Amino acid sequence: MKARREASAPPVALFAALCGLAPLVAMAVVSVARIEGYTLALALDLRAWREVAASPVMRGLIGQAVFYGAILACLTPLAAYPIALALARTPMAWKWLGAVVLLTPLYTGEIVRIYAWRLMLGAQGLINAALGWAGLIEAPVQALLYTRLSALIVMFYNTLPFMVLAIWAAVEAFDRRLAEAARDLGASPWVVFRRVTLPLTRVGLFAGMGVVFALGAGDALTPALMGGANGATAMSMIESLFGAAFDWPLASALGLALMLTLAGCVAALTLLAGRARRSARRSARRRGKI
Amino acid sequence: MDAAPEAPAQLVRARGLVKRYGATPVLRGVDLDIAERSFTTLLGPSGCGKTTVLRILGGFEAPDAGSLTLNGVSLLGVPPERRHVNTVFQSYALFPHLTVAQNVAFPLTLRRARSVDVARRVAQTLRAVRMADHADRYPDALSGGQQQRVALARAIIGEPLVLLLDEPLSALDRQMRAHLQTELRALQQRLRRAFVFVTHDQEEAFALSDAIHVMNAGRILQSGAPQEIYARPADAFVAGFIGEGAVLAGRVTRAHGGRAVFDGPLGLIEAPAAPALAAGDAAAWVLRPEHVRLDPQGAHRMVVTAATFSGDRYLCALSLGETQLRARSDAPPPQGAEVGVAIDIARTYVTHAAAP
Repeated sequence: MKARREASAPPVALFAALCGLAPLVAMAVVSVARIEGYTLALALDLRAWREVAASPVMRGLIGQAVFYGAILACLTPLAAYPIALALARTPMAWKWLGAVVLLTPLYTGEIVRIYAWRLMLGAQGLINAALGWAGLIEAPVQALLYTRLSALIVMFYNTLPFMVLAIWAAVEAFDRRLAEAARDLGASPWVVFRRVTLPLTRVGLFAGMGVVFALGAGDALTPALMGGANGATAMSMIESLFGAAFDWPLASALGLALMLTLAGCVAALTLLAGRARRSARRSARRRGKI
Repeated sequence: MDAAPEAPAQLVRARGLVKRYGATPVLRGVDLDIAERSFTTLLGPSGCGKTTVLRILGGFEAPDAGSLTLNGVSLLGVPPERRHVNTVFQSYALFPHLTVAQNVAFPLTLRRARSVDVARRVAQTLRAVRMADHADRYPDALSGGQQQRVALARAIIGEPLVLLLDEPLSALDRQMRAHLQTELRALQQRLRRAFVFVTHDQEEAFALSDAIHVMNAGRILQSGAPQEIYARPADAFVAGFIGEGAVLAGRVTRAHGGRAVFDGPLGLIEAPAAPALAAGDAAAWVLRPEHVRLDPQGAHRMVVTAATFSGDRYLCALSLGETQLRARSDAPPPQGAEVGVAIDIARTYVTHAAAP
């Protein structure tokens, strides 16, 4: 059994490496190619890379992708943990309902969801109508639609199920008798969460943060439809560079720069996760040290 | 005559505890007193409600009816973290992400204790359960017996008024169990705290307890010292659940002054009896193996149907028609043969068929 798994590992790894690396290699080659008329010529021209590094617009778009991803990775757990804990406590017979409620919005398609949110957030939308009816505002709040905030609200909604799923899986595997033992030993529910539940479900949290970061940083559609004047993303820029502008080297360089930045962020998150675990152990050890 | 010794102060008082899960009653009115510094055992078959009583004491379940006080103060509505009660769980429930020392320190670190004091008390407590050498290990690197000791250390370090133990020895092998029983009893006497122990193992209950409460089907059938419960079981269920031997059904024909004439499968006998028995009551006659011996001059003739070698002697099953008795024998009994059987009737006991 074990021997077979080891024997099958190299071909699988090779296949994955080919599929993942081939397009990247192609992009890397294109990014240093030179445009001659309407064709690309193989070269070692760093013009595109220099342009990416020098352009405040492109650096801003990469920064915006990181910003969206990071904000979502940090905020979704705040809503996802309570939901996941409640789902884990739901009796087996009712869990399917939780799963359906959680996943149904994902089946409706992204465009439908985004337009639904426009109805909610617009000047004549539900939220403004409710606030006006309640007498809390005199004029509709315009900041809710066609801003970065509105893009973030919709992305938060779109990515939340993924965060809940990741944490839910971890919380289901968590032995609730440990929480009971912690209560017995004097921990309040919040302390139980902070010192027992959270450390023991951290794997799910970090997995969810990785997924949500990637979804948020890589989402072009939501900012385009919800962001208004701020709807440009690195992705939309890459698309127009590949298409209308016919600047494949610049598109490739921007794409690679974006990818390397995001990969760096995920690597940093992983390192941080490892360090957080080690330092938690160290400080706990100091507290309990003989 | 001396004044009666002062009854020990009652630490925990439960009255009329009722608990249902859906329509199923789990506790049907449990009264329970736990004396200070006592080792109290709840003994009964699985499903009798003993663990539910423990979970109510710990604060993990709320009773549907009844009262519960600790030192005279009601515990109802008090969450587990605010009770001076700690539990050693059947599964041990050690925190897998913390070392042994961190597990044991956990209750103290919640109270903003000074780290020097925490370290000193953790070391002291780990020494008390002889786990000081394993302070930096993680729980998954420990054997069952070691995990059990860590769970014990973690539960006593906060000096609870009552320590609850939910079948903590049931997952261990026989030798480790016997060893830990001795340690547990010694620890309880050293700490001078009330321990409430839940088990279905009567040997364990006898070895450890000052007081035993025998439970069945959501009720306490009998409370008393182990010797009392063994010698004078309250009814046929307790007699059958505790110890070995035979419980024969019959009827009381005459009763007076703690003795009764019992009409059963071996004819009329007169033996010590439960005081409340009256003539005409359905009753049970309790014969322990030590009350029955093989004796050629014995009054009864019975057939040896089985014999089990138990090291120091043989335990044999005897039968006379439908009636089965158990006896101890030093010599290997002749299996299948008819033997003379003598019964030490003065040491047997006649009790109620079902609890009054």
